[in-house]
Amino acid sequence: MKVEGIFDPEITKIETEIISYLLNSTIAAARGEITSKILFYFVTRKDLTQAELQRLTGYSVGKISQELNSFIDLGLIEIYKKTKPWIYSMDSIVTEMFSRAINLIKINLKWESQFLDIKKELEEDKNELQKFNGYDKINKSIEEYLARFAGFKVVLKLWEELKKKYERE
Amino acid sequence: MLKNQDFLESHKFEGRLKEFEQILIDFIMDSGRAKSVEPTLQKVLGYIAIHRKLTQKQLIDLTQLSSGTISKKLREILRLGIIKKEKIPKTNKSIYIIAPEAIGSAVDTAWEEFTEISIFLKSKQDELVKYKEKKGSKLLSGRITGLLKTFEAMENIWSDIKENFIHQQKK
Repeated sequence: MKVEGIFDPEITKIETEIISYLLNSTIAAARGEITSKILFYFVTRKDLTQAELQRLTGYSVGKISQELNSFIDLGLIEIYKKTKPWIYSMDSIVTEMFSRAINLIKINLKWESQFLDIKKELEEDKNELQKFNGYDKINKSIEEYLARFAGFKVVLKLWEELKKKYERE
Repeated sequence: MLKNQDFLESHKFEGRLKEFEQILIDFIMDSGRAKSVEPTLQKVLGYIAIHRKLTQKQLIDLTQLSSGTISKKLREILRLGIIKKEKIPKTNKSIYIIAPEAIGSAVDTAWEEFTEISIFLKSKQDELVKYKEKKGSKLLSGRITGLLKTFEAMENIWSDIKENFIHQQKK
């Protein structure tokens, strides 16, 4: 595995235009500029070292290191330590996207049992809890999330199958 | 048009309900981390989602964030199309409302944007053909193909989400 390094100027220009376009889209709006910019360089470059990321983005080593650790925790990228410097890699964009979507559903479903307990308490102690402000809003939120979790269970199986399909391609 | 009682309602939850509100916020933050959503944006969105409608002042009180941060985050969330802003009658204040229908339309808007991005990426891929001998051309072109394939897969994912959302609305 080796990092591609410096692109020819014509290619760098096209890459910069792509990154700027994506940064101005709503894809980047929720993540913030720093996280999005580093993520988009993985989309265009696949394999990167910290030094290469620093050269491309201009961000500090500390900031880049923090973002890389967060990407690793989220399973967005992998780290290869057999080489020096270490290489960070986002292999397949499509399977990465499915992994993220599946992971997100699993994280959501982790909360299901706690929400079921709250629902039970809201029902059993309704007369008492209704005296306080916020009963209807909390009850509605819990019901909506539990309904969403039920839907997630259906799509989870479907997405796991789709992920396997793209991995085979 | 909003009526006075729509915004005079207190935003302070009490007793055990305050604890449930915190659990919901913890869940929303956990979910946001998995999506790499910027934490302060997720926090603001979380409180609006639970309370359905809040003024900027109420948001400051609930989140303990500064008024400048709240203003910035509200602009960003409005841009995402998942909340709407309405004027409070006879005042110069606004209220921010989460609209269930906005989730469906936000998916549509996002999909329209993905279509535009795909067109842009294809044009860049065509441009790369002219420079196929240049360093980085082959890699970048391959990565664009991967990204386009991802958008195609996302279309499947989003139609599942939308179908599921419509199904829940009908219940």
